[in-house]
Amino acid sequence: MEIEAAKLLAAGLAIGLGAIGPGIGEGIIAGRTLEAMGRNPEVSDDLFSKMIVAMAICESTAIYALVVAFLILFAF
Amino acid sequence: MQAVNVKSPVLFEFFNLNITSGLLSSFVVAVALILFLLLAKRQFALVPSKFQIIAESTLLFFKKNIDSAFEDKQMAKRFLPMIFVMFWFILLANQFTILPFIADLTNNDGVKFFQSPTSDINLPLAWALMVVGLSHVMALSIAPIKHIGGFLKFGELLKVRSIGGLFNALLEIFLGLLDIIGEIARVVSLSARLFGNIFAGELMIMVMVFIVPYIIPIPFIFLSIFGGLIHAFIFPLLSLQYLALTINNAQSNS
Repeated sequence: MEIEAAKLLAAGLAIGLGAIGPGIGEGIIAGRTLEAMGRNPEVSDDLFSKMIVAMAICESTAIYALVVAFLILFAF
Repeated sequence: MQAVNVKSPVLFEFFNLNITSGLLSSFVVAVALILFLLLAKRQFALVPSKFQIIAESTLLFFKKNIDSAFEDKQMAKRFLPMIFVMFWFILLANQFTILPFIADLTNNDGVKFFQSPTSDINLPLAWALMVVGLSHVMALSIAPIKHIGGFLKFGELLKVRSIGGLFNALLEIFLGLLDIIGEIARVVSLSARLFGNIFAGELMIMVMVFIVPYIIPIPFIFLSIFGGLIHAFIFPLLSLQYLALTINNAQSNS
């Protein structure tokens, strides 16, 4: 296989596989937060800000995959 | 399509020091931040001005979080200015390139003068190294033996009474060594999270502008601005947690 083709395949695989886990995780976070908000609407403002923080932390594994994909594509 | 640089380009040299576009932009952001906070400070009054409301509400938000994170209130008071400035610096740095025309200024070679400082890995890496380094320096100055003992748990071997105890002691030592790797992972995760988000946002806008120049990129610009705002909150809050965890641990029994 050409080295360029291998790079493109590797970058695509890195971000594609890396995005699966965080996608599921963020879905769980959003679903559970909505559930809690529906049960107790008074705390929804507080929950929303906490949800955003939790999602951003959960997202970080996808971001690592993205950084790796960028490094494969542009840095090497 | 424009070339994508993971490494920010060198503009000129100043006493053998390479001035890159990221460095130049971070200087501009720092000056803008000083001017903004001076402006907010100059007009302090009982009936607050707009600047004062923004500055005070963000300060109160971080004060609330810091007070709940640290056990020692004196220590919490000491860290508040750093966390507060960290937030404002990252916020301004993330949103730097949405200023009109500023991303299009180039020198004679076609190298851009300005980019978001956080879309260069060096700035987030420096912040993360500083935060984790500071937490260890503080912990070492509070309780040096206890802090090092938390990582190198060879003292466990002295307490061994049986074969099962030996196994447990070896496990403890192994876990302590894993914590050292965990500390390095903190630096990587803090810096890569900020860098990746901002860089990805800019790249996404660049790709969208390349495909469809009008209208279509607008939602992606909003997404990038929103991500920049969120990560300006995340970075100080996480570094606060790391600092508080290490320092509380060192203070607990000393």
